[in-house]
Amino acid sequence: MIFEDLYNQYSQKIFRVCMGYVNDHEKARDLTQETFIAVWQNLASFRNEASVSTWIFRIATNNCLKDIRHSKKIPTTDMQADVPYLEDEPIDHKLDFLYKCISELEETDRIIISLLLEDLPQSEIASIVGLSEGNTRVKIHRIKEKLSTKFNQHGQFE
Amino acid sequence: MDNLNDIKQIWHSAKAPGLPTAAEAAGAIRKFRAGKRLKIALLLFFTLACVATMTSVLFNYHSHLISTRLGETFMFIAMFIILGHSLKALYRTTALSNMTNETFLLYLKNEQRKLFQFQQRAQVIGFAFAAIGLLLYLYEGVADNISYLLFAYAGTMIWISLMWFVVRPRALKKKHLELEQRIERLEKISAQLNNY
Repeated sequence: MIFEDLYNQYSQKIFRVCMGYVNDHEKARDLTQETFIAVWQNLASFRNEASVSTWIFRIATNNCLKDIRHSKKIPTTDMQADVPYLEDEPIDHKLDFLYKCISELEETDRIIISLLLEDLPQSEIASIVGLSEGNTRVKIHRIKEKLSTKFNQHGQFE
Repeated sequence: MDNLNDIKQIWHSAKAPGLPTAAEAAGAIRKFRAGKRLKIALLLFFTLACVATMTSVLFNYHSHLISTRLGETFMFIAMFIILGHSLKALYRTTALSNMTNETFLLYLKNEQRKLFQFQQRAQVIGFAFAAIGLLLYLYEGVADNISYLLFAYAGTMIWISLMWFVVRPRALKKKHLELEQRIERLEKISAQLNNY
């Protein structure tokens, strides 16, 4: 495996996952960089105990968890709950809304939903987080319910 | 959740402004690692310079009293304790890659406690050696003059007492509080994985 290939393949994904966790572009960039520093340092000793994807996402999510200064929920007063959500809002506003909804979740829920949105299979998410597949399935179901409630309160998708 | 695909579409629309290219990232990482190596090299250089200076004083200044030699030895030991601690801090790596989030949270908690205990121990031992070494070393220089002796020892004892009973406990209390808050935070996050 070449570092540059891994970076090209995973940097955007890692950034999105970190962004889902911290909801801050600069911090997400820093966490992404920290992730790939660890990838660089440990690449030679990577022995395929897990898939490359699992390995890199583990590093990224562990970096997020390590950054506990920022692992606080954003207070709900920051959510403009009284602003109606419009279906034809520009994608950036929808993205901001999504990040705000995710940021209101607990830390591990943020990680799980971010990994799910990155199309990782539930078995891989379980392997990254350290839960059984059954428990992961239950957690994902509950996170989806929470997000669904938030989205339904503010509008609906087409 | 029926809207999951819609949410995925929004999620994947995210751009990553300012994210470097692969070549830039590799360059930045190389620079970062070179910077770390430079810090280690500088630390080693200044320590060796300090040791060389102290050694030359040891050989060029022919002390008559064993207390001076003992003092020098104790201060050498204190310096090596500090050096060892600083090098260990620079070399410390966090084993992120092979741990699940759950295991990593446990690891972080234990590491925080171990680090705090080590810092406490290293500080106590290093400070003890440095303080005793200084008191022993001073003696030969001021033994001939009672006023100088009283003044030097009084001043040194006041400084040592201030550091040991005032400055150190405050710094330790602050660090301990930060540690407890950090561990509490980690335990809270860890508990989330067990709640479903």
